[in-house]
Amino acid sequence: MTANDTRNKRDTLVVIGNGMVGHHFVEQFIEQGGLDRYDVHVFGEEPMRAYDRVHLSEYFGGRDAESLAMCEADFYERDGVNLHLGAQVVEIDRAQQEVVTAQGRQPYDQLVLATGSYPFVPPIPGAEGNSRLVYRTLEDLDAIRAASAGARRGVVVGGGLLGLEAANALKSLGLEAHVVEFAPRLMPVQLDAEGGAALKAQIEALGVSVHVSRATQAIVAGEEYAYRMNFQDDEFLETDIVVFSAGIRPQDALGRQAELEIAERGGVVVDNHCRTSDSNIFAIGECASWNGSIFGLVAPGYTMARCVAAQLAGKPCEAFTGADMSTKLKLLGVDVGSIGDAHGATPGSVSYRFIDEANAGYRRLVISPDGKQVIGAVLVGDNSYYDTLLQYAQNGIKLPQDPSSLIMPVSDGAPVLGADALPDTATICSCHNVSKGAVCCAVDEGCTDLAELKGQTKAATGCGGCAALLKQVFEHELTARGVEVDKSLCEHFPYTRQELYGIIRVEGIETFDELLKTHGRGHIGCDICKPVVGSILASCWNKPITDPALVPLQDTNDTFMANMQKNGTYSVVPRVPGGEITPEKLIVLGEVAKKYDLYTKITGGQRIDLFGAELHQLPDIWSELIEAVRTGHAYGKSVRT
Amino acid sequence: MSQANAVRMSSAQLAPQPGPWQVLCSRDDLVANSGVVAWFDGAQVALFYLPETEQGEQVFAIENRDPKSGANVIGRGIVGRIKDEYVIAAPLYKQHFSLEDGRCLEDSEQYLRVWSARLNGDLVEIAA
Amino acid sequence: MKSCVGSTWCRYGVQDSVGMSLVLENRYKGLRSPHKLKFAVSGCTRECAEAQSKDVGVIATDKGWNLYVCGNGGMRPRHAELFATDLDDKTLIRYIDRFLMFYIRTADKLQRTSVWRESLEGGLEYLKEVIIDDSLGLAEELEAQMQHVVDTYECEWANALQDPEKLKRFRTFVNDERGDPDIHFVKERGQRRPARASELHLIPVTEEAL
Repeated sequence: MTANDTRNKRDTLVVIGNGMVGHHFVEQFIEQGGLDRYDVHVFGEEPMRAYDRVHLSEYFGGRDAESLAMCEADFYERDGVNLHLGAQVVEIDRAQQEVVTAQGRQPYDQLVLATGSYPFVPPIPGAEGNSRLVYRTLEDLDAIRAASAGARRGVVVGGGLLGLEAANALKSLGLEAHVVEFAPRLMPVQLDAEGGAALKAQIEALGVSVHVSRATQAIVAGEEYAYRMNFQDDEFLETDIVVFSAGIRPQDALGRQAELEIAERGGVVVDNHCRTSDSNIFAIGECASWNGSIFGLVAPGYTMARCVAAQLAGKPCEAFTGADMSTKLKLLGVDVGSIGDAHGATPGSVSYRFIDEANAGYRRLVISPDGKQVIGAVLVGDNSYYDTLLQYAQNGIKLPQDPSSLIMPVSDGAPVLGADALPDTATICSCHNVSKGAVCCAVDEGCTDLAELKGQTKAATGCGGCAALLKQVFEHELTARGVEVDKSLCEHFPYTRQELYGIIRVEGIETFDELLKTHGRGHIGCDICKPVVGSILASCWNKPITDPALVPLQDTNDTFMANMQKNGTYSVVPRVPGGEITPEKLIVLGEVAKKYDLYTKITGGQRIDLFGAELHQLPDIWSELIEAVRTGHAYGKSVRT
Repeated sequence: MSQANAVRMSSAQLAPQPGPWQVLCSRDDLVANSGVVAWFDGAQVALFYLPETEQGEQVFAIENRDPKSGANVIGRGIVGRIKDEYVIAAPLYKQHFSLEDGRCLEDSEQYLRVWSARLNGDLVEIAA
Repeated sequence: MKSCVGSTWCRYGVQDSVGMSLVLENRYKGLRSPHKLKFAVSGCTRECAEAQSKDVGVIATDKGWNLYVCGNGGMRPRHAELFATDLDDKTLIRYIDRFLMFYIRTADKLQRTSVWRESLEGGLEYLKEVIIDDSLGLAEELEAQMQHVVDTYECEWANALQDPEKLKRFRTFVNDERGDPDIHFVKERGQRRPARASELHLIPVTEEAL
C-alpha cells in the first residue's frame, strides 16, 4: 500500500527526442538523482536508440548501427526509464498536459523537447529521388547506400562541416566525390578565405573535387551520368546521386503546433534556464533558440541538457548563457580548427597569419584591438596548436611578447602554455564541462592516478581531445603538491616497464640477473619486477620459460604451465586452434579426463578445460596428451581464447 | 662450492639453540631462487633456496598453508626482497610473508610458522 | 581463439573464418605480452564469434577482412574499434604483427589493450598512423621482432617432458610420494569438484571421498 501511495505522488517527465542531446539529458537526469522524483517516458521517432551522429560517416567504414549507439541496449530499462522507439509525437496537448502519439496519449507534469533539427534542402527544380538525398540519420545513410549501388559519381551540395563529412561517406562507398558550395569557400562559417582555400587544396589532394561559388539552379536528366546539375553561366556537373547538406533547420513543428513562442528564424524560444514560454516545457539542443541563436554543435546541446537535468532533479544549476562555437575536428583526415572571432570581424582587431604553401597549411591568430588577448583563430592542417590557443582565448591569458610564436612552427624552446598559467575556471574538458578547478579538487582529495582521475571527473572520456592537456594539468598539480610522480616499477628498478623493454631490446639482455646487475638495485628482485622482466624476456627472445634461469621469474601458473585454482589444484587447457578439433583428439582429451577424474568444462574461448589435477599429476597428464594436443598457454599472459 | 660450513637461516631468535637437526631432503631437491615443499612429520614445509645472499647461500623453511585461501600453496609463490627482508608472495592472493619470521606484511594478524633450516653438505636439515 | 564456422558451412559466411583463425592462432601462440590477449574471427557481419569484444577482432567482408582492435569483455567492457577495412590476408597479418609488437613495446605492466588504447595519447588516429602509415618508421622492426617469436615457437610442455631436471619440480612433496592430504573433492552432477569448508566434516580425514 505504502509503495503505491508514494508512487502516486511521483510526477511524470516526458522527453521528446532520443538523439545525442536527448540521451545526454536522460543520462544526466539519472546521475543527478532525478528518478527519485519522476517517472520518465522518452519518445524517439527513429527505430534505433540514440546514436553518435558525429561519427556517422563511419557507418560506411564498417561500423554498424549498434556500435554507434550512445549506450548499452539495456541502459534505459535498467534504470526503469520507459523508452518508446519508433514513436513519433504528433501533438502536445498543453491544456490536458498530454503528448499524443499514434499509439495513444501520455500525460506529463514536465516536458522536455529535444527534437533536434532537420536538413535544409533548397527548393531546386528537378531535385527528387536519388538527386534529393540528405545526410542526417541512419535511415538517410541506408538510402544513400542503396542509391550508390551501380553509381560512379556522387555530389554533395554544401561545403560545411556536415557536407564534408557526407563527402567522406560517399568516398567510403567507392564513389568519385564532389562538393558544391554556394559560398566562395569551404566551411564559410568557421574559416576565413585563406583557411577555406587551404582546406580546399588539402581535400582535393585526397581526391574529392571541390566547386565553390556555385549555385545549383536546376537538376535535369544527364547524358553520361543519371543527372545533370545546372549552375549559373551555363556551367554544369553530371552525377548519379546528389546529397544535400546545405544547413540545418530547427525541428520546431511541435512547438508551433502547441503555440509556444517561436523565434523569427525558427526554433522554440528558451530563456537562460532553457524554459520555453510554457513554464512546464523545456527545450534543449538544436530545436531551441536562445537569444536568437540556434547551436548546431553537440557541446552546447549537452550544456543545455545538464542545465535542465539539474533543475528538474532539484539540484543547483548554472544558467545557460550562450556557448562557445569553437571547434576542432578532422574532416576527411584533415585537421580543422576554428576559435571565436575567426574572421577578425571585431573592429580594430589585428591578425597574424602563417601560410605553408608547400603543405597547404594555414594558421591565423586574431588579437584584440588593445593587443592584449587572443579573440579568434583558424587552423587548417595541424590542430596541435588548438588547445593552447583556446585556453588563451577563453581565459583572457596575457599574450607572450611575440604573439606570432603561438602559431609559428614549433621548434625547441618555443613557448608552450604551462598548466600553471591556466586559471581555475579554465575548461579542460568541454564534453563533460570539467574545469581545472575540478581537477585540482580531485588531486586535493588524494587522487594520484590519471585513470582514477578520468573515472572521477569524467574528463577526457568524451571525444578525448583534451587528454594531453589533462595529463599536463594533472602532473603539474601533483608536482605542485610535492607528490613526486614516481614511475619506478618497484624498489629494484627505477624504470617503467616500457623503459625496461627498451633496455632489454637495445642491450640484448637475456637474464634477470644481468638486468638487475646493470640497471637495478639489490640482488633478488620481487614479485612485481620478476614476472614483468620474465614476460619482456619472453616477448623479446622467446626462450623456454622452464629454463633454470627463467623459472624463478614466473608467476606460479607459468612455472607449472597450468592454472592454479582456489584449492591449489590445477586446470589444464590444451590448445584447440580456432576451436576446431577432430573426434580422435576429443577422445584423447576424454580418456585423460576420465583416467584422472578431471572436472571437464567447455571454455568461452572454444577450448576444453580440465580441472582438479594435482601438481605431481601434471607431467603424467601431459605425457598422455602431448601426442594429440599442445599447450594452450591459458596460464600465461599470452594469446588465448 | 663452499657449503661445508653450514649456515643458519631462520631468525627465530627466541630459540637460542635450534635443534636437534633432522634431515628433510637433499640439496638436489631444491630449486635455486624458488620453492619446493617437503613433508615433515605431518606438517607441510615450504623450502626456499637462495644461493647468493649477503650471507652466502641460505635456505628458508616456512609453513606451506596459505591462511587466506586455506590451500597448501605457499611453496609455489615468488621469492623476493622488500625493504631489506626476504619475503614470499602467496600465489593466489599475492599477500607477502617474511621468510625470516613468518609475519604477513599486509596483515599483522596473519603469521606463518617458520623453522630453522640449514644445508649440511648435500642434505637439507630442519630444526623443530 | 574464437571463430565461427565461416563460409565453409554457413550460408551467410563470406570468408573462411576457421581457416583464418587457425593461421592467426598458430602464428601468435606462445607470444608473451604485458597481459592476456584474446582473438576472434567472424565469417560475416553477423559476428557470431563476437570479435568486437576482443583485443584483436577480425570480421570477414565481401572484399577481405575488417580488423578491430582493443576491445574487451570482462570487468570493464569496451567495444573494439574499427582499425582497417577490407584487408587481404597478408596485410591483415602484417597489421596484427605490428599492432601486437607495438603494444608489447609500449604498454604498462598488466595493462590490457583496451586500457592501453585509452591511455595512448593521440588515440586511435595515432595508432593508425604508427601501424598503417608507419609514421615512426618502426614497421619493419616490429615485423621482424614478431617473426623471431613465430620462428622460435616451441610447445613448453613438449620441451619440459623431455627434460627430467625440469620435471623435478612437479612433485607435491620432494621427500614423500603422497598427494596433498588437504585436497578434498565431492561429486556433483557426475563430476568431482572441490569440497566446501562446510562439507569437510563429512569426509574421513585420511582418505578422499570419491
